[in-house]
Amino acid sequence: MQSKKVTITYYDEYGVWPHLADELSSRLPLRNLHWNPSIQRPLRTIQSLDVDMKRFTYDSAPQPLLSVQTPYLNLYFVACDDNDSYRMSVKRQIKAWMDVITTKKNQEWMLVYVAGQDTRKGASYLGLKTSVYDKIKNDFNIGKRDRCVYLRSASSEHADSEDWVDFINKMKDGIMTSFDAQVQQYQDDTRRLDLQRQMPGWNYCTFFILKEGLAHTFETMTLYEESLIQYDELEASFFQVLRDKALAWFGHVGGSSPGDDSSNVLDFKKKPYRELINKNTISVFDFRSYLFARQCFLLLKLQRPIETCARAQLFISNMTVTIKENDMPVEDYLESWIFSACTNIVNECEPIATHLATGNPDILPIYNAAKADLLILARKQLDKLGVKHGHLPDSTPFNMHIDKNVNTKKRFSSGAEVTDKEPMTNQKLREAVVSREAFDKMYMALSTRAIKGYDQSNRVRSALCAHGDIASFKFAREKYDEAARILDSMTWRYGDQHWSYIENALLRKCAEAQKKLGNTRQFLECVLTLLKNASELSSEEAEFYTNELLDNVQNMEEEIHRQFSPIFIVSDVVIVDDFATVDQTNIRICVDNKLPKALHFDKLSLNLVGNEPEHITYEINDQTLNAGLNVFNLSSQTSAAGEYVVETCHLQFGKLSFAHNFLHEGHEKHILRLNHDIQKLFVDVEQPGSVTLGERQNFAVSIYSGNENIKEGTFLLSSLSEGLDIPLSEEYTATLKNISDETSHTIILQVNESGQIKLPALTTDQKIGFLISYDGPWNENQFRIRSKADYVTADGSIRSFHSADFVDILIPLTVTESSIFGENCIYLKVEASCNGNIPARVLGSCLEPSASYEIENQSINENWDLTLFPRQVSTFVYKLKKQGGSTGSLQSKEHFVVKYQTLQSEVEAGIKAKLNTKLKEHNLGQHLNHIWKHIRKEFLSHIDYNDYGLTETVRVKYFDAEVCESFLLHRDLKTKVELLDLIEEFFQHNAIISQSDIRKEHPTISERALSFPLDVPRSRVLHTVELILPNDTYMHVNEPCEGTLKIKQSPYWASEESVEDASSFFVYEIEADYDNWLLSGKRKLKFSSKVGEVYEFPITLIALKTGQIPLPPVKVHSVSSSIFASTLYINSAQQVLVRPKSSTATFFVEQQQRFVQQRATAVQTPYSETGHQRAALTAVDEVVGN
Amino acid sequence: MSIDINCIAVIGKQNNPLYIKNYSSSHPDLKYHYIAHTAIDVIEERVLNNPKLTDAYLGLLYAMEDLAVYGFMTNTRVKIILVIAVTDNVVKDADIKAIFTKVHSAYVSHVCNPFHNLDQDFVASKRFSNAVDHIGQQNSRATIDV
Repeated sequence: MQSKKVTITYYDEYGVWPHLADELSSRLPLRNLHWNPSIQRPLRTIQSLDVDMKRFTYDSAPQPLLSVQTPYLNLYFVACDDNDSYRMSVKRQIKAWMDVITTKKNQEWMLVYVAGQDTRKGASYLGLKTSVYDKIKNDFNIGKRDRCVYLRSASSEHADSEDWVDFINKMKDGIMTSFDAQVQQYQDDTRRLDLQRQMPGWNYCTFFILKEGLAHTFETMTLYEESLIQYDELEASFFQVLRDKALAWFGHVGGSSPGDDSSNVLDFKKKPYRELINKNTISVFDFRSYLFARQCFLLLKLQRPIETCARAQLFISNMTVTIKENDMPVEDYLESWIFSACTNIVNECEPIATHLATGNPDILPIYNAAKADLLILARKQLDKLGVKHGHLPDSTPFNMHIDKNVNTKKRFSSGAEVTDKEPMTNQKLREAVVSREAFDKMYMALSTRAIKGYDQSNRVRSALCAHGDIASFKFAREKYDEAARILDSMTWRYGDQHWSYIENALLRKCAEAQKKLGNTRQFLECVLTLLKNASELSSEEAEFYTNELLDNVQNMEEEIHRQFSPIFIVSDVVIVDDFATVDQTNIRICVDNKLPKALHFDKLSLNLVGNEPEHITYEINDQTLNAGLNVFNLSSQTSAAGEYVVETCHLQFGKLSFAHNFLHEGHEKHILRLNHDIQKLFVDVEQPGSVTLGERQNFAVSIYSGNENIKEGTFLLSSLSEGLDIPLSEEYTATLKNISDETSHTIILQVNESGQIKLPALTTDQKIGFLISYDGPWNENQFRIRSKADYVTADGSIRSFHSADFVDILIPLTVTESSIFGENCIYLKVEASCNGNIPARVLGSCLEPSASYEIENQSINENWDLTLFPRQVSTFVYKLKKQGGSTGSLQSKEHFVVKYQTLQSEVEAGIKAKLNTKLKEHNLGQHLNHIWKHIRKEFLSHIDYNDYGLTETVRVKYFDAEVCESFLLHRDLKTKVELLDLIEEFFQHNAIISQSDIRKEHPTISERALSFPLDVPRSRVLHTVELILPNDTYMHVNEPCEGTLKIKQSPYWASEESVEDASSFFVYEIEADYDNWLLSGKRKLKFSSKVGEVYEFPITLIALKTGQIPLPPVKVHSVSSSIFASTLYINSAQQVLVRPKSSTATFFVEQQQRFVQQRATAVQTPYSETGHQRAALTAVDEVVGN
Repeated sequence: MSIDINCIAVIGKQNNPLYIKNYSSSHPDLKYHYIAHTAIDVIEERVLNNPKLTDAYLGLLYAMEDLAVYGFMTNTRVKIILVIAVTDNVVKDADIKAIFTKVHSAYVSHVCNPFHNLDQDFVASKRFSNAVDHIGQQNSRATIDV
């Protein structure tokens, strides 16, 4: 569209224009014009301005108001060399021209003097004569402004001299001056008119024309921005007027002229709009079309395609309302108009946008989005038309855009009227309505073009929407595979963000398409997804799809896996193991079926994860899942104890399976504490009641059949502790005991190839007990072992038992032994003491004979009750004799067997029995093992058993509800509270327990036996030493007494292999006490000795004191360190009476001299002085006999 | 004030619909689900192009035939979308803003419920839906042809 140009008139009386025209047009358009507005506007620069040259005419017809083509500048070309002719005629002519010009408002004028080649500019040399140019200047220049220009004619060589520059500049000045004046004029006028808005008779149209004049003025000067502002202001005031309902002059809505429905909205010359406005006859439709067209025109001039599209959107929606509200004379007017408007605008904007994008690709996404919006809008018109004319079904999404209210109204009011209307005039649409092929082509073209636009502008969701429409379109055209392909690839995008309503709308189509295509699997997947969003489905639909699901689920070939939620919801996972209601541990889960119909499922299973075993599955088969809440009790083939995390839940319908993972991030772990099924097979492993130290140790395994009939089974015990090794043996001897009638018999358990012990058939209430030996470190007092039993019950179900627990290994007593050899017997002293801090009751003891020794004498006491406290020692002495007769079945070592019971086990057994009774009363017996384990650890470890041993009462002071609660976790609240209350009550009642109480509760005190192997030497080199004195009852002091040391190596203790005449060297040593004895002879002597031989060594002893004096001890050592020699000293601890000498002495203590004499005699005495003096000083008469 | 509210939609942070309610009688719900869904595109575009956006009110998102779609995004990226019927009257931003603020405060008081779990699926409370419906119906086309 051509824009307006600035008009300049010229008056060419002298025919110079042809000479100048080329020159001038080469300098056009004018460049760099500066507008310095006189009011409140910043300086504007106009880069380039096109100018329209027109010949001036005198026909002074008054300028119509509507004309916008007012000249800005009037030129008068003068070519006159002659002063006279100037004075005569030219001046007058100019004057006449000027008179006309100056009457015109806001128009500048300029006189152009065109000089001939010889004409000189300016004054003559002498200044006598003034030139014509000077004269003109003098005559016509008013004020300061120089409105005269001097030009040389075009043929001149100096054509491009400064004259031309001057001329152009003055032209620019002139244009700007007159422009500024015009702007000011318009602004003043509009402001005045605007102020009168409230006055009666004010006319919007007049105002519009006036203001638009300003806009035109700006437009002429290529100041499009300014111009657009004027239109925007006009639009705003239009709406203002509209709101004030002062639009009396818009009598009719309009838009009813032929072709209005398809005309180009951007064409503002389609109708004589300005005239219509001026005449106050314009319709609202036309007026707004015109206003919009003008705005778009300016926007496109400003190269703003994005804004154009955006404004178009708003304009179209505004107009939609107007058109809708009025009955248009053309059928499908609205659709046709919107479609035309959209396509027109896109067509206009497209080239500009592509052009702009080469310089600035950033605008493309935004433009594409706006464009795509318009295209989609156009396509929606196709939707509506398609539905109306039967090209598309009357269903979503095609009928989505049809206003139901309007439609029904129309259908109601005008059944026949419809035909009266003219057909729409948009050719393309008419074609589409007539031909389905054209319709389809257009539909697809618009959609794909819109998708392309959205894709380029990153509007994924809008593109998705269009894709969905295409799929629906394909579906309507029964191109099911295409529809299914598109839908398959996109529906999840809605589902992903929970737009299930839309997803469902698409899925319905997808499901139907897949069904028609015969893709059962895909069909079912669609149905499942639909059912997933069942909350958005109507109940009939839900039922329909459920039926579809059920009908098809059996025909599936592959498996389909789906999430539980939201079709099914699992909740409330609770253990039910009280045996009043169930016969084995059950897990009760609640499945909420959101489908409106009952379903029959094959299997519902719940997987738990824990330690031993790592996985347990609880399941239930072949049940019906009703609509709504369902409760199922799941059971397991595995009996296990411990804490288990609920991992997954599976629901199986044929090939279709639903899974729910409980271990999702963010969700709390659901932990269940399982107890062993106490009524099923149960395995107990403990330290055996009788322990023999020094041998390989055993675990005592007891397998209880519970209330099960077991056909066969296997059992495996494996180690979980470091260093503990459980070697396999070929077979085990076991006792099979009927618990009810206490009968038992021995059976042999075989071990199969894989190392498992085979279990025999068991009936209810039977127990198999056997020992399994192990190798492990001695100092450990706990081993962790795993026991696992797999078995088949009589009714054929395969079950298993798992447990992994600590087995306490206690040796609460220690013994030390020592032995003393006699001539033909040995005395054994055994000292027993507590090993640790817990007192033990010794209930009996005995010494078991060995192959070497028989017990000649022992005090067997079976019914002892001796409490042995720590740091106390109990001593047992036995006399042993060498085994005489057959020694066949006896052990090689003597064993000291203690029957005992620690006070701890006594107390604990008592409390446990009490607790068990208590729990069973409340039907909570299944928790005993778990609770006991913790109670023992937490509350009973503080009991002072020494105190109990002394006072015979237990004080359980320590009860902490918080601790108690901590081990009761992972059960349902009811069970937890029940147990907590129960335990608390139990401890309140049993804070002090007496021994009799305990014994009453647990009358059969489980006796434990410890068997200690003792080291009694088998053989020794035993020397019998006898000191033979002449008189072994008395002797005299200071008198030598000659004796004989008789040493004999005893044959009784000689080891059998050393019978041959090997002699070895020994040393005897008399350890005389020199205070009492003087010894003469060999105090220490090495001698060679042989079994059975007697050696005699003479010694002399002199007693130094009187009284009963022990004989000096004698020992025999072996020279070589390899032979252990012991001595049997017959005279050991024998005392001999030492008498004084058998002389009498009378002393008279009269004179001093006597002492002196006596001293002299003392010197003569050959014996020691001290001895003599003492003897003298005793002053006692002694009669020495003999 | 005569704003014909056709639909109020509350969209979650993850662009999941929390609450979509159609107050018009002229169009099926599906249309408004689509509108709300595609409006997210425009909101995302707006937010991306104005990273320093401080006002929660995003203004007119787009117009489609006789419907205008307005957007609002809270600090927690919960989006509120308002679909109104276009009339000849110029709709003032302030009016739209006021509606948004009302819906927003209804949402805020809903999530302030200590029993409401933000991480779980949004369950519109009765109070919340009443509050929103009140806003929607109060402003919806009150003139029913009698």
